[in-house]
Amino acid sequence: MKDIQPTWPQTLLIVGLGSIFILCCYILSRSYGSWGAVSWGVLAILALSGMGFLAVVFLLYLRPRYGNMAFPLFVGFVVFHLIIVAVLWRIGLPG
Amino acid sequence: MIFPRKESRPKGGKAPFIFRAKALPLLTIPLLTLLFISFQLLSSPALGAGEGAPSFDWPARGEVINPFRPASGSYGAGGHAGIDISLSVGTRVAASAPGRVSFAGRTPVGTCVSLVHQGGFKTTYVSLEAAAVSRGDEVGRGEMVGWSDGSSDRSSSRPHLHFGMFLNGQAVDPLPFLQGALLDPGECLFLGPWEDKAAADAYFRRHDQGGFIGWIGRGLKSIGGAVTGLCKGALHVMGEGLVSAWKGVSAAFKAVGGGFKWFYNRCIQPWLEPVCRGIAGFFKWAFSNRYVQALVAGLAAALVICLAVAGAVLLFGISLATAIAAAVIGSIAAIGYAFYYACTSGDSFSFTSCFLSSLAVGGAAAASTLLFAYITPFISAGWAKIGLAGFAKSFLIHGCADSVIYAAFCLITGREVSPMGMLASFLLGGLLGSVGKLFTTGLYAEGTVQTLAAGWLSSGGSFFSGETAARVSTYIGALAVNYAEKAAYTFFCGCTGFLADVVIRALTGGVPSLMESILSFGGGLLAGSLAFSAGGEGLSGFLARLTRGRLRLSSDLSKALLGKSFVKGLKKGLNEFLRRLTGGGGGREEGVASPEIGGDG
Repeated sequence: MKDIQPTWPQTLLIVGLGSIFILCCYILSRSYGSWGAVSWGVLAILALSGMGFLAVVFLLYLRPRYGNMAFPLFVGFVVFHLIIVAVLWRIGLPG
Repeated sequence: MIFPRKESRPKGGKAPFIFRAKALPLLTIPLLTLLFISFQLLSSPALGAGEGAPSFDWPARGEVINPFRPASGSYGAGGHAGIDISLSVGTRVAASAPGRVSFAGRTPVGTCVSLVHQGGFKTTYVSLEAAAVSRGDEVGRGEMVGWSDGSSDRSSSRPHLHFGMFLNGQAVDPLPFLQGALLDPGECLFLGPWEDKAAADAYFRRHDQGGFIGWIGRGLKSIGGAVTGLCKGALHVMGEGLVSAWKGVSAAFKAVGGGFKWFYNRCIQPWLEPVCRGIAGFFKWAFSNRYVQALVAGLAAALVICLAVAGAVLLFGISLATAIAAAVIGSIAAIGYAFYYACTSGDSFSFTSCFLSSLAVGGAAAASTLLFAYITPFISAGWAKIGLAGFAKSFLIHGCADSVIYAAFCLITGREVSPMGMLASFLLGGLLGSVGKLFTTGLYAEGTVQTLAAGWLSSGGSFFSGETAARVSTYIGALAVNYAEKAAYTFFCGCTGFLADVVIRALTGGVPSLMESILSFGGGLLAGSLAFSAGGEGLSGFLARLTRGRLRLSSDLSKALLGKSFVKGLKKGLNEFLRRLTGGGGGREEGVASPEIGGDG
């Protein structure tokens, strides 16, 4: 393991892509099924931002630090946060 | 002899002096008669045997299984008029002494023979199989009178001969006569050695009792018996005294107890009982309130947590400050959750559930505190490595990841994305992720484990000795170095299995199942373990180990094979695509001879 931290621009890129994804989710969750062209566009942005978020997390945050072990750790990263959100969901706080 | 021989004297006239002098002893006759009568009244009837009484022999030899007992009631009730001699069937029964048969025949208790002897004696032989004599026969000593029938009766359970002896019609014990104790009837009337020295000598000689010395001995024995009796009496008196004293003490205690009882009944009970009832009623009323029950449950859970923390201190040598912090935090959490439970449970409040849930929450809080105290060195080392900037970046990235996942969850499940939910997931994910990063960074930092081990060694009061702790630390460190990476890999393989299960379930609309998710996680763990069994080289390593190194898939070879296959396939596919596009049979021109070439045309 190397002591490599993402730079601030890289961090902001990760957070920015995540924020776009969250914003798209926010918009779509309030469209109440009225799917127009705009919604499809938002969905496309959502997909791109989501994949981009995962990619930059892997490429800019985990891979420089963990090298060849980055992918398993990436899976662990996702599972770990899934569990946290699932616990919160179970508690009922987000809903 | 008690009856002196009569001397003849001339009739009429004054008796000469010699006769008067000789008559003086005759004055003792009335006195001796009186003495004899009183002696007879006080003694056994055998002692009144008449002149010429015979000696008696055993009618048959056997064990005396039931002795003579004088009658204690009317008509011989309670007694046994004779002795029972154990005999087998058909044993010969002989006359005990010469005599005349006065009876021979059957009676309600069996065949019986009675003999009359000199001196007023009479013997009976009962329970005979048959009589060998008849009434009026004269029998001699030892002459057979019959055979034993081997029967038993209520006096003795074993087969026996009942042998009875009567003197002047009164039942006497035959045993002394059979044992030769009273062979001479004159001895029956013997009163003392001063009367007739020759008789006394004969008596002592017969009974082999040592003559006069023996008589002295018996006197001493009598004195000893008297002293013994005196001692017994004294002991008896002492015992009686002790018993009386004990009774007195008991009575005193009883009196004191009665006094206390009276005092209690009169002075204490009138006010104590209402007070106790009041206290019990108060507690009953108070405990019916669920908040009071929650307080009790929380306090009980806090007590258990404090005991557990004390045990952890003894076992692991935790510092006192850490232990106090863990106990306080755990207790506060337990009591607080107990009240939270009481507030939210309503009428479904259960003391047991309240206690258990409080215990769980408080225990988790205390354990977290202890754990935090343990990982503090790692976090400190991690902070030294990455600093505030690294912590902030990790916080942002991990928090953003949680918010992303939360938003995706909302979108998938058709719920609105809530700002509060996003904030909560962002904060929690960011906090846990950044702290986790601090911890892992500190864990891998150089010298952290050694520092921890040194702290452990210096903690003192540990369950382990210093040497053992050093060994354990070294061993755990070696394990961590060797297997931490592999363990992490297999764990992430398990997580992959779990994630795959979640994804497939989400895509197919399946219902979440904890057990199946755990199984998926286990499957991932197994796959990871198998991969590491191949030396951590994946499929290539597996094949190499399987073929003992003959076949090894290097990455270059894989790329070459893949590239070649891909290029070849692409070329072939492109040719086919072009052939179809042009509508020709370009593909077939190579291998199939055209009918126009070399054909008829």
